[in-house]
Amino acid sequence: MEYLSGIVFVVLIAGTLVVTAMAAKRVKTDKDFYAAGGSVPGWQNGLAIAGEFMASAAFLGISGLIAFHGLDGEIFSICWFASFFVVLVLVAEVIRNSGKYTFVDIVSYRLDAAKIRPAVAVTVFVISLAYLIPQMVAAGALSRILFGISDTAGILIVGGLMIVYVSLGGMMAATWIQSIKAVFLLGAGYLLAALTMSHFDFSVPQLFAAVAESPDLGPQWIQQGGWLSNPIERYSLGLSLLFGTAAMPHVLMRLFTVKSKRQAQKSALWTMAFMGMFHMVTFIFGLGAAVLVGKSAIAAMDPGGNLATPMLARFVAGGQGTFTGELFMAFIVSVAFITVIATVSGLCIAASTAFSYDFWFKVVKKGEQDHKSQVRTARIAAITIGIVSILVSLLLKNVNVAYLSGLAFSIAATVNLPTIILSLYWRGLTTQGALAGIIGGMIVSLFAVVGGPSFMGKEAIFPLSNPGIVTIPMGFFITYVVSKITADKVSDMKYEELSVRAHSGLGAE
Amino acid sequence: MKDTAVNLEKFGMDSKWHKAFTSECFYKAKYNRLRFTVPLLGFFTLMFLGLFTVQSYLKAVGQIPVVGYVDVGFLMVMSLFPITGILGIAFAKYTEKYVYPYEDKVIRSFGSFAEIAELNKSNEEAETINEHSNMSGVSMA
Repeated sequence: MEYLSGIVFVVLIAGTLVVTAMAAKRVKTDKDFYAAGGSVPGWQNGLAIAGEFMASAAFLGISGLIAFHGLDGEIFSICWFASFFVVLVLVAEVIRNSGKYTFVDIVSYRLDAAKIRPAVAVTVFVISLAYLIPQMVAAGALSRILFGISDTAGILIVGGLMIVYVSLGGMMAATWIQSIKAVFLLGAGYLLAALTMSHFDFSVPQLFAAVAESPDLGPQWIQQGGWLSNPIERYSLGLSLLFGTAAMPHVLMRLFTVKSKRQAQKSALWTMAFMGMFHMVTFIFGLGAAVLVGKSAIAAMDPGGNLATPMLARFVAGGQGTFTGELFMAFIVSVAFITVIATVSGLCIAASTAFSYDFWFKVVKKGEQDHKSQVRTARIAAITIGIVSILVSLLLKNVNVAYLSGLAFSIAATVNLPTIILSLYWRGLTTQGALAGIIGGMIVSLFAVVGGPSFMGKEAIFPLSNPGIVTIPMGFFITYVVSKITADKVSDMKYEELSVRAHSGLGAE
Repeated sequence: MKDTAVNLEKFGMDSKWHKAFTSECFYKAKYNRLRFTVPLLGFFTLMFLGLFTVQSYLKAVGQIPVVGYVDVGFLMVMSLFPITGILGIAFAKYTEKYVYPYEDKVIRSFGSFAEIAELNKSNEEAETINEHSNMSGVSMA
């Protein structure tokens, strides 16, 4: 199995490196690096964004959650899918109309750029790293189980490839790799779903009956409440997922890779289509693995449940020891690995752009730097961030860092969302209000996540693992109150310009 | 986008931005967008709050079997995929018909030649849009 996985992995990685080399030749300006030249068609951008969100958490994590705890895991599938409806109606077109490479362009446009750019860039940096590091650590653990190599080697491979993809090909390479990976993932997912359902006469009621009547599982596996027993936790997680995506920097950055507002709208619609196709069948992976492979067999190989999907693939394609079974498992595992690499690459671009464009180019260089120098700075930033994330992941490889993903979503929804929405739709927003919201939101999010059950267990001083239901309104409240008691004449006057740009596309870059 | 220096005169009453902001076509573009977006987003949020309620506080309702062991809660989750998709398509259709013509008119009225040329180039339904923008009074939504 390890050799077969290794061969399939090397073949697929070689393919992605060829794509990166081709993309690297086309990266000549900052626009090529940050926004893939700004001419990606809407459908392909939709495919790439869907690729970002059909990450290892979706492909491996949700199935494991459903296999171990029942259908509660579906909340991730439906909410991640539906979050792009929020992106579609709230931000897709207006963000494309009013920014250039990052959403920081928009908020700093009305507000005092010298103060707001570094503050928002820090949040983007923290969100991207908080989301990136758990994925690298998880990839290290998976490579130990699947390829028989150490965690350190796994993290170095994933991190090394991420640096190569991003520093050479920038957003151009990341877009192509995400698109190709999404096609692989959809194809493999549907083949797996079909092979699984063939064991149940392609009937969902029969699959459910098999789960309910299994002595290891039972009817509670196909009902809600097995994992999210606290109702408030369900509302909070659901709302954070639905509204947090609209503020994730690596998603917002992709809206600048298309030419116009119409293409941005198409991107969001295509993202919904591709994600819907994928997430509608994730319950088959989880329940299928629980019935066909067995909970205990999955737990014996990985107590976290992340191997439910690969083990199901091996089972439905012939079983352990058969060539077809091992090949399909190797393919699924390799696609999952490319998924991790592609996703961390997107996050690395977001983090490096926060430094090289939002901070270095706009604040330090005051917008005066030629295209070549900008690309060089961006590449240096990407390599530096890649090395930092590898080192941090190696340091934390034996620590449970899953809570960091929750922290990323919490900060995005609590800090970025109020700043974006209020700068676009509320004339009264002031620089001081936005700064207070950013700093206050960061503190509130950090307190809620670090003081919550995910980090402190039973000694938690904050009751919710997913604090969005408390922190998101607080982010809006802090920004609103401080804006009300301060004045910002420039922000007030520039509101008209930003509003016209956002809601018409006049002056769009 | 230059954001390092602010020239307040640029944002005075005579600026093209102020004129565009106070124009009827911009008002219509923004008003038409918001009057559809706000209720749509409200309905969407209520729909999901309903789902979470059926899965938690009203678990008894969510567990009513429909076909074999397939219950109301699961069918609600699965039906939200197509419903959300249809809402997304409805939003796109609405903006195409009642928002974009006014937004394009703002660009045609206040944009540079390059922007107008870019608009024509990027617009996939250029003829339809030209028809709208050449009308002196665009039919109001």
